[in-house]
Amino acid sequence: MSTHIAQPILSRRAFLRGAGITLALPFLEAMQPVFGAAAKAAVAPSATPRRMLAIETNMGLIAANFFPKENGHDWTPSPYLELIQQHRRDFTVFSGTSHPAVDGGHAAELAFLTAAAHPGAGGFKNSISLDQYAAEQIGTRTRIQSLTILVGSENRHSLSFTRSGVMIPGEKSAAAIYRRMFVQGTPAEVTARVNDLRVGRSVLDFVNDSAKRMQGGLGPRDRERLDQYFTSVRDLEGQLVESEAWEQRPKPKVAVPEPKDITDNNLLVQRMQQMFGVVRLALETDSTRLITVFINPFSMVPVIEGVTHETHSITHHGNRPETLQELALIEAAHFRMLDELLTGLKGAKEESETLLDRTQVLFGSCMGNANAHDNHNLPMLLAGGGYRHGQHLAFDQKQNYPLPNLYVSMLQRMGLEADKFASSTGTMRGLEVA
Amino acid sequence: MRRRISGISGWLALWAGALLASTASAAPAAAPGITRQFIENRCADCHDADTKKGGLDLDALLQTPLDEKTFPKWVRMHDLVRDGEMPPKKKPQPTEAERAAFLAQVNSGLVANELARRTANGRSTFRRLNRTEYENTLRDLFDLPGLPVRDLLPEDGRADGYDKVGGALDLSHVQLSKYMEAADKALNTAIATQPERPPLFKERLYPGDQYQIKIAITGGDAVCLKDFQYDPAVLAQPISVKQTKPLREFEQEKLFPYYGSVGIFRHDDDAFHADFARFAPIAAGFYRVRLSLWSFHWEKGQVQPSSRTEVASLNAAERGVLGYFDAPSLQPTEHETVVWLNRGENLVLNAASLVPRRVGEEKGRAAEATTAGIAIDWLEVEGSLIDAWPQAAHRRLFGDLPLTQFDKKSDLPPPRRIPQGQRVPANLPNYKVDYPNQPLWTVTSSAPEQDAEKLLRDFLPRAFRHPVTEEEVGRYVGLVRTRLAAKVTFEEAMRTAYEAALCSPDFLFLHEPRGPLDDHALAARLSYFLWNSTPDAELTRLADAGQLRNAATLRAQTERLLNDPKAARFIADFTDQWLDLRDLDLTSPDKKLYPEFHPILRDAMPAETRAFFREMLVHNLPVRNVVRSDFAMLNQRLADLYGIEGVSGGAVRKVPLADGALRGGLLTQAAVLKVTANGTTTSPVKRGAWVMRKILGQPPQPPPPSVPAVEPDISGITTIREQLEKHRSDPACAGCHAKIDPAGLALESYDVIGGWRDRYRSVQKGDTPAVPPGARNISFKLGPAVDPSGALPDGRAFANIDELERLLLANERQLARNLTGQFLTYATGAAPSFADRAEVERILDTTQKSSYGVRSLVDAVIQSPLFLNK
Repeated sequence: MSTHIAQPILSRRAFLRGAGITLALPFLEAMQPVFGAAAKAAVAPSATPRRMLAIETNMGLIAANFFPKENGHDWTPSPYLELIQQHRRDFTVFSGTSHPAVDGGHAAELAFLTAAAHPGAGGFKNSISLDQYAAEQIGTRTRIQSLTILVGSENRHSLSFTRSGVMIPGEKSAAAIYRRMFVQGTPAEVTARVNDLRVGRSVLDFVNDSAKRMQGGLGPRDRERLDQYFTSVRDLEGQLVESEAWEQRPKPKVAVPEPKDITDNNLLVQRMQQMFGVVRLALETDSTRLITVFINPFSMVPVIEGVTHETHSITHHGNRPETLQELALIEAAHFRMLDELLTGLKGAKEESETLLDRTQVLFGSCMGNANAHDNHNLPMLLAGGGYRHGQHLAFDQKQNYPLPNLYVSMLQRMGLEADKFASSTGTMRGLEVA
Repeated sequence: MRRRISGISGWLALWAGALLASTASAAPAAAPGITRQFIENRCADCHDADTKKGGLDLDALLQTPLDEKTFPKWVRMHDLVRDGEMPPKKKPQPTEAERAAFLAQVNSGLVANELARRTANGRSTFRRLNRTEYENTLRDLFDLPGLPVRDLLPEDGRADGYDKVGGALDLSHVQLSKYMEAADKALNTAIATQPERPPLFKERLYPGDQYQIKIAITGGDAVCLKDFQYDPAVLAQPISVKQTKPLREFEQEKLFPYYGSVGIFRHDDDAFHADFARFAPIAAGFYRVRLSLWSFHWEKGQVQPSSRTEVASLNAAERGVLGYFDAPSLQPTEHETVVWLNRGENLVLNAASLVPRRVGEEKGRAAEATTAGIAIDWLEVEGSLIDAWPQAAHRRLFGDLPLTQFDKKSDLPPPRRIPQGQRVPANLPNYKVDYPNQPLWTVTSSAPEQDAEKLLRDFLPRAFRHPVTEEEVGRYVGLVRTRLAAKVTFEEAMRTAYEAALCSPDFLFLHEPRGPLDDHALAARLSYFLWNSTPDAELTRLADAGQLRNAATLRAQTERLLNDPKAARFIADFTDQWLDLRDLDLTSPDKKLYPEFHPILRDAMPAETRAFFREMLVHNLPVRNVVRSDFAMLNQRLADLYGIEGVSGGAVRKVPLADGALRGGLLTQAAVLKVTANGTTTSPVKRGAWVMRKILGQPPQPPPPSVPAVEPDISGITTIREQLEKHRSDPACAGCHAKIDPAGLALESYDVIGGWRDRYRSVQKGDTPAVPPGARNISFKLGPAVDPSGALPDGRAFANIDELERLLLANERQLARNLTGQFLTYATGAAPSFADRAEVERILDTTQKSSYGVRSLVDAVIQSPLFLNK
């Protein structure tokens, strides 16, 4: 199986140069909010910055190519894990896990980070995603509370959902993220922007009063709906206050130039690579500590040698050997990109640790077997974050172990007080902090 | 072993509910003893706390108060007993009197309980606009028909199938910040930035003057044509080998621009768009486009008559199809259309009906090719078409206030304009310079506060869809005053007030008071039902005058709204949601198995279904047409797929169907068949469940957890029926599948794109088939034969889809009951519940004489108390 990957958009050296520059930044001091709500929220910053990056590719992975056969530490790499073999001591593979009551085939992609039950059913209501749960508590410590990224086709889907279950549209432009993080406006632009933010806040004050005046005539259930409006106003107001504080602080400088967005939908691999590059910059410069990346190869014919069909139709492979082979080419490309990402994070140092040690990288899919649209036995791995890695933690294939337990562990590793997330029953069994 | 059911506290709660609301029920309910007795005698054997068959523990249920959680269980019990499914046939049966008494008591108890719970809120829940309504509302409010804001907003939740249900329309800071952005965008588009009307662009563009088409000509994917023959003006003869001369040299030799006709062989694809890039709109607006098209057959350099009328589409770059236009054989045909274009949107011509191929990369290229081609002579653009200046959108915000030159030296911040850097989204070749260093113009007022008050008094009621108090106007004027005091221009201060209005709950939410709707709430409910948007001036006038609740007026307005072009929004949005057509693109057909599937066919699918629904609505056709009709709405591409002859061109029109036709009705329409399949295989379960949910209104119970789905196999060895039979041999599955599968089995005669099949397509084994229309090279085989036979749960058997449809038609009233429920959910934001059943039956009674005509149903729904009350 040979997979063709085009020339990296940003060379590894360019990244290392970027890293060199940012390392000179005293990240904690420089990034500490100094006033406003940001300062309040950051009264007790954890001594060590902890970060989280969650990546989902939404069409499943061929199980036989992913899961190792042996449990514990002495597993023989599967074809996909072979591609990230150099990091085997830095990740844990999980099998026999899934989100309880999360079904509905493709619909389960909505619940990958939320674990909300029955996403495919009519009247489904989503709940808060793992990253947003953390963002509510630590988001204000960085310029960008959380980054919600999409590498995909036409829509703006993402993995991130607010507390009321509303999807945060995925950002598709690497350049836009780069500009938000690094491109400083002229003083006049900053002033205008600050003015706009203040006008925005006065508008919010005003409409909040409008909503109060509306409250009177509503029944209890109706009032719950209006309460969502009040919450939205309050949340957005908080964000505008934050934005204003950050607007007036200098942005970090990096040597890597602004990326040029890849517009060709089918350049899946190149787009993944570009986004992972921006992800790494975001983490290195402590621009954000919470990132989700949704990879949705739907309606794409990825430019990979040997691939001629649209990804989604290939996943309905009907166990045709040549189609499985084509699918494997696409999936393997994901792991090549993951390998590059992990290498990059390991290569960047922050104080005495690597960036990878401080970044939990979750990678997986919402489907176990895409051909049958099955949402059990999800392919999942967790890299970095300072755990005792290297294992294959195998659970029951028939009675799956609840995956939300892993999310509780991840939240705790972020330094958050959380003992429950969605349908969790505890913390991840067998996963220990190093 | 019969056991006494212990305790009746749950039932007592139910009974208490009935007493509380006894004014609502005509006859006082009988003693609760009947229910208890029935359960003890007829149910407790299997459903007591020990046995709990099917997970139902009536001991526990009777101990639990009747509330929102236990209510559905009681409804299900009621329905199973009513339908004779419980007690099961093999058990002793209650007498009819016993059954009737039980049902009557449970019914009145449930109705009373539900009505009691409903008093606090009403049937429906306070809700915000969904994003489609939001976009339409902004468009109509500002008279900006193409304003694109929908896609800024996150997708809306759906409940009971529709994004109109309050409980699913959640709100968060994400939406709120997008509403601010959208308001900004609308205001940017609406506000005039100069006192003079922008110059009218009017020009005829030639295909041989467009970069992409020149590339196609020199690459062999298009040819120059003159007098229906090859024109050697640019290339002495059609190329036969790869042409190496760069385009630049052709241009230097003045071979381009070429002003003749160009015949195009290549369908739009990732690398080719026949982009008429010599024009890009500088301002969003309506543009008149004319173009001249014809088709031909290309025989190795010779132009010959084409075998059929080809069809080209005109697209807006990035946004998609604006329209389809016929290109008859060797007959240049002029088309004219008026389209909305956003700033910077190029026009692209797509030779849509051609089978995708790359003549320019084939051996022998254009010189050796035998292929169909579409010729374009020219394309004219005129616009933007503006009736008056400043445009209506601006006048709705600023009336006749003058635009004056902004003094750049003043200490006020300049008026908000699209930043210079972003002013030219594409290169705008038709305007060499996009107003560089123009003076800035801004709306001014000599009496700002009075003008603000006047403008807001006009704007706010229209935005909020109800009258606005003086105090409320005053609050908004106060906001303007505060801004003016902070030293901003009048225009800027007004913008803040308008932005606040557009982000306020008064605009974002549909405010319906409890109990009977007032005239304005009714006007809004009516217009969001039939136009998916805000009421117009006439509806508002009637509401202001307090006349809308008059039944005759309401009926006349229903007619008026349905006859208005804006009703197309209802037709599209309702069918998209009712029939799941929104999900049409969730799967793409396997290219090997379905090589005849192309975008032009995909676009024809929802067009058929919409046209069909429109036909039913316009002509008040009986609801039985949902299952079976003696006509179909087709264009040539669909007729090709369906194997129906004599339909030529791209327009969808009414085609009578012969007896024994395999089409007619919704079930056999390509859109429905595609959306109920994945791209590779069909599943009788999925299609059967869809028919129950959408057509019969009898949604199946959800599958039990932990049952693995059937894994599709297209190797051509086993059929889905064989796989399913294994699955159904489990008695735990058999009960539900006996109901779900029949319709799906009959629909097995239709493949994943809606084509008829007698045998399954397979990628491995089988015979070689004929090439289907729309395909060129095929590699699939014909596998096992399709068996579309089956039997309904009551034993009535069918051999095929034709016989199944006849069986479904036996219960027209159920079809009407379902459609009424769909309309009610869409129109009122709440699915008809148990307590609404009597009213639904009344609606059916009043429409029975029209054989449940679809328009009669819409009308009866609107006249119903369910619509007239919150």
